[in-house]
Amino acid sequence: MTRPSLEDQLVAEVPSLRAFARSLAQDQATADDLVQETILKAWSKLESFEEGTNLRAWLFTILRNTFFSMKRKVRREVEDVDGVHAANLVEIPRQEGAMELAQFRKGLASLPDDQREALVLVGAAGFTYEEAAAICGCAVGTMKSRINRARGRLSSILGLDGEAPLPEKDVASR
Amino acid sequence: MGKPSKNSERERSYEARDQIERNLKRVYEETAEEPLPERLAELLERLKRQGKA
Repeated sequence: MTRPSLEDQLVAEVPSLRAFARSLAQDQATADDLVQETILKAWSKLESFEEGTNLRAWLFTILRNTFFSMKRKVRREVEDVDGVHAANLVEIPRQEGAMELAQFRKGLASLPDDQREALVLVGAAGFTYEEAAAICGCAVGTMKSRINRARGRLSSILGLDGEAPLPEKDVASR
Repeated sequence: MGKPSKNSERERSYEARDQIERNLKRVYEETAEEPLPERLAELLERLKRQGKA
């Protein structure tokens, strides 16, 4: 059986890259801009990619670095300046549990970038702590502590810690 | 009413963690399963046609 080419492997990762980009950038258009940038950068560097190393982690690293440099450049917080963010979050429930999921999205969106990306990389994208730490350029211990803080914060926001959920103005101001 | 026992606190924390992981995966998979927007699909097609960089 022949191994898929690097190009094919890259194409196969695009849906996951979109999901990761959406968790970072939150609005769909910016997330897809990020994915587009990532594809272009990765494609142009594929020849220098060392086969046998982790292509997926490499792509995620390009995407998160692109996100943070874009953010530094624009110097704009993902706050609800133009209502785009809120429009994405306030979805009409389409199925059972959709309301709970909408709450969850809102809580996730309120986490600091470093905690949110840590949680998504390990909890959803399936990276190990070590891989996620390498992607984010931090120590494994830092990655673990970001995830713990993210879980704790989400638990409070969603009222999963046995306390009443935080009022929305408190969530927004965090 | 006394303080909640350490066991019940631990149990609650595991439940919270499970619920967070479940929702996190749902949110992530929902996006990953969406069809690719046209502009990305077109970009990939164009790059594939061009072959390696």
